[in-house]
Amino acid sequence: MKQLTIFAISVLISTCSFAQDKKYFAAMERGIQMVSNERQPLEQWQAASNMFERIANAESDKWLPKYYHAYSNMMMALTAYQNKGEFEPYLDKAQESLDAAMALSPNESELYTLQGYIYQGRIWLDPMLNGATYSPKSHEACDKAIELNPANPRPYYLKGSNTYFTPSFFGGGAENALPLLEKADEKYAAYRTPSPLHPMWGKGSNDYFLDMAKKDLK
Amino acid sequence: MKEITLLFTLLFTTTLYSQVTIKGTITSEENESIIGANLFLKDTYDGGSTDENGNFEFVTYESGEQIFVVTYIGFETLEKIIQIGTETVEINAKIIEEANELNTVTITAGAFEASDEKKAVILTSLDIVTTAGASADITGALNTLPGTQTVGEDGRLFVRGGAAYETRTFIDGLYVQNPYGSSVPDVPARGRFSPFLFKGTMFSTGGYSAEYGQALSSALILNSQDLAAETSTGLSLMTIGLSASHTHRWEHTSLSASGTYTNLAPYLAIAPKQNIQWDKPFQGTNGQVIFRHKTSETGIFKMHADATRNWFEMQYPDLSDIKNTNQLSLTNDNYYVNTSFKELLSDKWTFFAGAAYTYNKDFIREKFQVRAEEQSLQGRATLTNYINEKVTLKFGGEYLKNVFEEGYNSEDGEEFLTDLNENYTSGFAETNIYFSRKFVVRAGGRLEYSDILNQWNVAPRLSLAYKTSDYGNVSFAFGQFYQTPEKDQLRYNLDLNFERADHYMVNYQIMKGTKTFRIEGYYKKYKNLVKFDLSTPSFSDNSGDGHAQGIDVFYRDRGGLIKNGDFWISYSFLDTERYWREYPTAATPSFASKHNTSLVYKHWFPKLTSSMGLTYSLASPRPYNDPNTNRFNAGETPAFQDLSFNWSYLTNILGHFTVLHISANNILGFNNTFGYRFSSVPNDEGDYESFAVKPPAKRFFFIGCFISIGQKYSKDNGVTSN
Repeated sequence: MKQLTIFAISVLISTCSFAQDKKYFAAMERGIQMVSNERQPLEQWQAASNMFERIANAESDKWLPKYYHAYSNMMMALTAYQNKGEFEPYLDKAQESLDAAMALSPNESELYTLQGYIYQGRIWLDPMLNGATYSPKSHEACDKAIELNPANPRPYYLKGSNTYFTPSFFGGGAENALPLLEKADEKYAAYRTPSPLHPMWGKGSNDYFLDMAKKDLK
Repeated sequence: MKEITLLFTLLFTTTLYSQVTIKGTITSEENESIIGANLFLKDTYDGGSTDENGNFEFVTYESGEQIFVVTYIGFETLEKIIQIGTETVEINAKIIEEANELNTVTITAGAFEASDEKKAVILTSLDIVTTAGASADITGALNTLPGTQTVGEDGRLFVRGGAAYETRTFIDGLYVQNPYGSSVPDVPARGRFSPFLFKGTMFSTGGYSAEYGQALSSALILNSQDLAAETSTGLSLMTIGLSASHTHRWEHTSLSASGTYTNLAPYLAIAPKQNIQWDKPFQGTNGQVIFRHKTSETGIFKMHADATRNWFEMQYPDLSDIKNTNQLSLTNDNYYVNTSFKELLSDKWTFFAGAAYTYNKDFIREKFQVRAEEQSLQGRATLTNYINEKVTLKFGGEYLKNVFEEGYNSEDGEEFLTDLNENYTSGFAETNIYFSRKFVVRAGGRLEYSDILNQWNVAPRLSLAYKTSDYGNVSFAFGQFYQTPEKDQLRYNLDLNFERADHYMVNYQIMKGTKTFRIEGYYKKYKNLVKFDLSTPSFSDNSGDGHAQGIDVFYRDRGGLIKNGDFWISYSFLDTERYWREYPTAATPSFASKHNTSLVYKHWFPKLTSSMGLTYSLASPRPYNDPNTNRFNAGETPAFQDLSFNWSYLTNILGHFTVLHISANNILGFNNTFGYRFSSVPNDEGDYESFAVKPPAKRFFFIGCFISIGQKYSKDNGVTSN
């Protein structure tokens, strides 16, 4: 009987943690579904951000929900910027969540990539004033991301798009961006995510910039 | 069997919780519904978002006491303990907007701020550098703001009817003894400090904080840059000299060294006619070292050391026989060290300590000789206590020792010695109280003791600000300001008291999107100004007085009206008179003009990667004293006009970022006269002859090439900093 009890309790515990894991996977998959379209409206990013914030709240020791929460806010910043809205609070929020994720997993290439992206967002606030400060910072963060995982295509894409928008007198422009975007393209083709929950974004945008850069150089 | 029952109970309880609905509405304090707010039960997966009406509804299997959390961007996180039983729980909550620069009132009376870190500022650091006509001089750029008077023959800041000495400069809280290069009459002085050294500038045209004293009219508060961004080498080639600098950046430390050599001679050799006859045109050498070290995540140590030598020789009219000129020469040596340390002691306390030393020597020769040496040493410490979100208290003290020695040898070999030794001590305390996000009070006081005068003063300061709308702000400021009389007065008589000015001002400012508008009215009452009779300057006393009142208006639009175009317009109206110094009667001083207007325009041409600047200034006539008439200061100079232009082309030379810059002052060639100087003795007909005080040259041209080596491009890596 005693053995049965122990068995039952262990089943109970494992079903509990299995149930918890299943809950986590299901929630994350639903969240990732919500961020799969990079060109969706602000409200949808907001819903995704809320979803990931709730997962992060329940799973406070996992870096991925915090990462996605930061990423959703970064995308809200981008969307708001493109619609000429106020976007600095989203950048601040993204940075806050990213810092929390960094504290949990300090050597994650994807986190440095996102850091590079947030720094680019700071440039949009005032390109004349912030470009000189944040452009090198963004490249530095992306370089660190490449160092941590050379197979990661996203830091190359971000370096490429940033270079594309950097004025030519600072060493930017289509000509200088093209090799980076091409490299990102190669890496996207070869990249396999470590798990279905890991980041996958950027391919579509990279294609877009690659196209633009090629057109500009014609 | 019992165990089995227990077991099943255990197994099933995981799924047997009852499902409870939680619903409600989330609104702001103003009862506006919040769309997209996130709400959840802490440490669980259960939650949802609010819809377009601010309503939400979600189900949970949790029970008992839970923490209900609401988050929304720009709002404070709300946490609320709720009890979940079997019934639907309804929660209607209000969330509070986070305090930020835009929704919180700021004191704008008397304050013009240029900063890269704050959003709600009137200028950025870049604005100071790119303003046409300013020649990258801080004073030049500030002269395009309302409240300043253009005094072209002097070059220093004149604020709201105040003389130049009434404005004081502070770097990192420390008083700067010689903010301008030494000069001689009618040759405008330039600021010693490059605008690139500072990340923030606070230009106060009155009513400033109790933290600062010894300035009757205005305080220019400069905050130096933190760690240099990256390792780089700079090279500047200019029509007036050369400069080289190198900066090295380590993780927590940066060190920069630079050297500059200035020589006006090559420019003058090809330049159009000058109003000054130079025997040896202006030359200067400057060396500068800047060290920064982050002592912790929050602490920073700063050091700035500077050594300068400037010299020139020119012809200046002989004031006793103005048809003739004499050689006038000046050699100036200046050494300056400024160190400071700032650290957060806890989340409630900030500590700042600073020390500065200055040595300045001027050697002036005409028919007479002046040899003046001045040294000052000062220390300052402040503590800031963030008592709570609404109340901040700042207090501190400073000590300044100043030693001034001057030997004056007249033409006939007579010698006059001046020896002044000042020990100045002060303490201040000031509190900022936010009664709400709409209403703030800043109240403080300053206690000063001057050893040389053997006098005390206590100066109260008060500012209030009220936020009238989402973008508008009304401020009021009052303050008493004391200043020790100038050395020119103290050398004759030490039995004097502080000069005093009381400021009253009302300001309205509205800042929305790209536009800023502000208007400020002020009244300034001068008391205890030093007064003497020209024939007996040692019988001086503090019986002088005066007033200044006026209106300052400012409007700026950054790219909203004109794409890539940025402009501002300033207008100042000034009415002032004083009875002081040698004045026989109350009169408007010669440095004050009634109307001052500036129009600054900047345009960015993306295709040409160039920026262009135009500045137009117009100042109404200023008075001057004509000894040939009986009425004091009744002469009027012509109005002053200037249109200046600059062009910066941003490019890349051998992979190094380069700026080519050209600028020209007075491109329309206005014939400006700043005033007249009269012979000290009448001619045979009994008239005092005069000459006009003109700018050093009608027009000034400048070409410079600034190369920044260090931002390199490599095909593989994009832009990286080496």
